[in-house]
Amino acid sequence: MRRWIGRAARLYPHAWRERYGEEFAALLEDHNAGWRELTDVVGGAFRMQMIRAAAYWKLAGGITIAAVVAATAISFRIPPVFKSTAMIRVTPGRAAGGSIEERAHYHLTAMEQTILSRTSLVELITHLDLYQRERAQEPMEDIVERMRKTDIAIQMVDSRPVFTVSFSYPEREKAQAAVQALAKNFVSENENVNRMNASLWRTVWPPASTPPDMALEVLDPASLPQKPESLSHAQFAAVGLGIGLALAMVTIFAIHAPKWALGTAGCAAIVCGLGTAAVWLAPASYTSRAVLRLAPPVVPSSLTREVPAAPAAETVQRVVEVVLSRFSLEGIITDPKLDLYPQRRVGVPMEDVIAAMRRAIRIRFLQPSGSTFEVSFTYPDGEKAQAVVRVLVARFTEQSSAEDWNQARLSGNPKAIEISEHKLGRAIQVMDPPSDPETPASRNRAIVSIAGLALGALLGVVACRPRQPRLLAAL
Amino acid sequence: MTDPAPLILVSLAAGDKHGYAITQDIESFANIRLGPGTLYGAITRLEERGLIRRLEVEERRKPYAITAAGRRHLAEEMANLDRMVTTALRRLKHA
Repeated sequence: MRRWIGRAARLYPHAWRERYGEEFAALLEDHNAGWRELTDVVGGAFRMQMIRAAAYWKLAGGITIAAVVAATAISFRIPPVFKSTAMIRVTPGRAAGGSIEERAHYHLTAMEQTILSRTSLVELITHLDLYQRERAQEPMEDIVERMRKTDIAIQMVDSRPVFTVSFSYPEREKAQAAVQALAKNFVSENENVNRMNASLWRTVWPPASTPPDMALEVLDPASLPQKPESLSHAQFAAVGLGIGLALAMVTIFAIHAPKWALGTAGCAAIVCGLGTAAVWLAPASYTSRAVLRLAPPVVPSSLTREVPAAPAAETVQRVVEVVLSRFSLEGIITDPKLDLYPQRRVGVPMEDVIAAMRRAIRIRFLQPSGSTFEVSFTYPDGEKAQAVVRVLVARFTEQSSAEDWNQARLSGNPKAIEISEHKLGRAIQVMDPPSDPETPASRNRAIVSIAGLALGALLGVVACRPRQPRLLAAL
Repeated sequence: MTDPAPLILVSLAAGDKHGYAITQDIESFANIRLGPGTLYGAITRLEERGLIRRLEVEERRKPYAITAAGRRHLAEEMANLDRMVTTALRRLKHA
């Protein structure tokens, strides 16, 4: 029976046992060991657990209510976001070079790249006086990037040749005005592309033949949003409820096992601090970016059927291999105007310097077809990073012309050779010129800090887990 | 009187005692034998309220002492009890 009473004593809360466990064990040694004592100890443990549980419930309730109140208060501080949308139909006219769907898709992508280019968006921002507060605090480059990636959305509607243009902004009138401007830009850009294609077409094909074109029709003009798209106060409160419950659980865990919680928090802080410090101490680097696209040939479909074009990604890959070849990169590194990696070149073989430069150059395909891609270069000097991307862009465009001419020559088709000579074949065009990096690339700092925090917490949980309770172990 | 807290205070008013000595003392003057769980439940509450304090000694059996607040609380409780007993006796006499 004494052993059972000792086991029952372990039912008391851990904190209570830390405080009273030893003397309680001594009392049990002195006391009779009968059913009455066993019942009394079990009852005492239950009451003590209930007292603690009640305290925990009060604490959890307090934290949750505080989180809900805080989230609701924040929801009143955050301005609402309104979304305006316009719907545009693409009607392929006289088709040339490929199926109607292919041309429509290329046409839309080409216009999208131009309309979402830095130049076009900066003009829109300044014309409508958008992002007034952000422009006072952040570089224009970052604002344009956010506008392009987060606030503007261009989506095809199912499989129909219809797409929507939408813009999310805190002021509904400005959201509508921006969408109206974007829709207008699409229509005018469509005319530009048609005119340019027609002009190129006439350099090769008989005047009697009609050049390919594409018609755009605005089905729904930009709507004036009535309700905000952002989370409502109730949704914010619900998020606060979730966060509050999670915080309450963590707090109760910290109270219940303070050493474990403290060790976990300590480990997380140390690893996070070390990671963040390492990133901050590392030299700053700047990234310049440019967006390029591989335009399809402006030729009749009869010819493209005779000479099937290679997939876009394959063509781009061949150009990339030449541009990033040892000979090409060595020329850029040793160019007296650029003079890249001067310190590294002193003690390290040129092969290693070229390998380092290849790692700093990034080619990222923006579309699954591989026709649009981004070229970026990261370097400690922002101006040099931009200059290098300029050189790379020039080489890409030159090399794509050479590649097109080679392909035409290999095909042996005199018309194909004529097309390439008139630069009507496939060509890499610049969508976004090389950017001037105003701030060092610092996104990794936040990622490293969060990763360090998570890793440290994990290490802490494992390393500081409580061992078998020693108190009352002898009972 | 079934609440163990005043019984513990009465016991400690006579001098410092550890748990088992308290149960023995209460059994001797009130004829009530407190179980270990009941005793330590009451000790926990009394200590949290500052009515008793634990004396830090090297031994496993820790003695407890009544505090000044504990003495005042006990005096008030006993005065109330005294009034109740006096009233009850007087009413029984006139019944």
